[in-house]
Amino acid sequence: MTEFLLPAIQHVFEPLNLLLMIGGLVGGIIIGALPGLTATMGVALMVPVTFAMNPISGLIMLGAIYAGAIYGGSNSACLIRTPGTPSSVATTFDGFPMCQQGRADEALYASLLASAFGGVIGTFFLLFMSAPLARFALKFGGPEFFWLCIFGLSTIAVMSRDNMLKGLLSGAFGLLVSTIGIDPNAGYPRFTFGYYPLSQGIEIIPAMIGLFSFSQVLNLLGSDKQYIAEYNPRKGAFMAVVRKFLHDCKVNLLRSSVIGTVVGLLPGAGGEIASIIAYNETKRWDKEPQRFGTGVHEGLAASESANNAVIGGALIPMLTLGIPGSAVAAVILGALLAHGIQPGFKVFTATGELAYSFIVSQFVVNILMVPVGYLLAKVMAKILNIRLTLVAIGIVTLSVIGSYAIRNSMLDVWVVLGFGLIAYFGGLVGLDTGAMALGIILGPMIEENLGKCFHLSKAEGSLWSVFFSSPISIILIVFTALSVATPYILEMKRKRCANQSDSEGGSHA
Amino acid sequence: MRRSFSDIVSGLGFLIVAAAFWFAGRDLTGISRVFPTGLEVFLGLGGLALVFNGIRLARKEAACEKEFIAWNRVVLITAASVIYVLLIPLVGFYVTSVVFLFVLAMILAEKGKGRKGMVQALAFSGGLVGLIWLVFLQILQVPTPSGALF
Repeated sequence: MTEFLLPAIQHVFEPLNLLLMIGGLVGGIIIGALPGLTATMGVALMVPVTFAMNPISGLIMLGAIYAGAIYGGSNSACLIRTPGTPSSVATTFDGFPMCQQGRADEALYASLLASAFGGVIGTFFLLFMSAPLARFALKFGGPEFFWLCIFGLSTIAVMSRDNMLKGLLSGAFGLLVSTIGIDPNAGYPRFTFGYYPLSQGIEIIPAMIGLFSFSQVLNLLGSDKQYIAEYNPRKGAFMAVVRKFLHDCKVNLLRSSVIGTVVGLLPGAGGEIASIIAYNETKRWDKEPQRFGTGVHEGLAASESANNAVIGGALIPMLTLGIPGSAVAAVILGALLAHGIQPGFKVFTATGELAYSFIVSQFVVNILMVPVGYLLAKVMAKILNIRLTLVAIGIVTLSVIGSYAIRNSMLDVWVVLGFGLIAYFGGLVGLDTGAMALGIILGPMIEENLGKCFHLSKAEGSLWSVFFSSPISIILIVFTALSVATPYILEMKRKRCANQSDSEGGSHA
Repeated sequence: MRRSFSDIVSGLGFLIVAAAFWFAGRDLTGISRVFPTGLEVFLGLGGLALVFNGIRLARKEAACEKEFIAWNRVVLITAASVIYVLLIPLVGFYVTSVVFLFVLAMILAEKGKGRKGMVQALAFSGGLVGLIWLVFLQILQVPTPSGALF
């Protein structure tokens, strides 16, 4: 490895490559911030451009777009409660409340720093632990994926503690909606309600745009506000966030980044699942979980560090085994193959200079993200100075074009309107939009892996042994049980402590 | 909103969804049926529980303060968005978007509906749609919905 590192560092610091990294980051952040334009789309669009470059420069630029787009999604998530990419859904939970409190600059800086941190940790694992982690990822089969998704769903227990039943039912509604379209097991359309285009299924991104964006338009216009939020940029806000992270969020950032890396390793499980699991874990272990969702740095730190750490994780099986951990990694894999580079363990020896240049560039990209993102955040925050009515109708147009762009289908535009209305009126009667989103995201994976388990059980002769025999499955089941039970145990403990201190206070009096 | 009312409405909503999916999926067989059926049963039972809880609460719940919602604006943007989406495939994305943004910017403007307001609304609608044209169609070459006009 060491023989390749020095030349790799030299390649990365070539002026052209530094310029490509900055350009890739700016482009990626803008793409990520626009609802409907995903990291996959941004990277895929730039792959043909890399054919005119040498492979190292091309890969470095694609990596920068990937990292920039995943971070960019947090900008619109914080400012207008519209996740630019699906992996920013959990960022809206605390980012937007922070923005409403006039702390948009803090929200943007917290997202930026957490993203950069998560990216660096993910790349660290990519550089030093690729081989063992790739072998671990190979142990994930249908049952393990199924339990991982159930673990992700257990977030609802933490999310909707005020009204658990409505939260669970909202999640079940999301899961049921995700079954619309081609049946993953039988391969024929179902739940189309006589409307043929529905056989395409409900695409996740338009559903998220509807749930978070169009419903927000209705919320904003239904209020008596003139602006989305006051924007009072304060001197020293950036350093205040740095200090907050150094004092209170070290463990949170590290834990969330590790979660992001591990989830990123698993094909099909992307940033949206990682950020939700990391958010859930951070909230669960916090001394005051009730403050989450009201605009706290910890929520942003968890979500954003996890989704950017996914990048490093997703690249591990792509580089070492040729199995992409995410859709973007699949596009980068295509670019590698187009340049005549065969992924696999040999990529680190036969084409070591290229592999290590790419990995080292990811470190530099994540560090460069801080100044580039800082400058862009200042520009993007200006959106808050535009009159609310104009922002709201602008969001409608962006939602329409963003959802259409996913697969050139007007069905997706109707999905935005439909889910926007469901989220708005559902919100009025106490339904949980986050739980619905979680159901829609996890539904296809749960059903697909449930089907695999049923098929496996026919071969093994027992459904029980399929679900409960692997050590990873058992660990995930224990984690799920803990995830559901811990908030209640901690709550009971807190109440008991409060009662004790009350009675002690009474006896002293 | 009163908790009893919201429970009854959401419970009924879940019951309707469960019934609709059960009806649409009654021909499904084998593994394809397992996952949706489990969810339909859960939604149905949960919906019933919410309805009963709402009825139980209605007897003892006191009236609560009404939250301000500008329903006229909510209905306006919903209706306008539906018409906008209906017209896009017929007229074309860019023309429809300019008209949609301009008309709504004029109607929703609290003040300045005069000539200055009109110029501002026109600049906003033209500017945003121009930006979308530049980014989506020219730079990223992402197709936009086409119709009879541009």
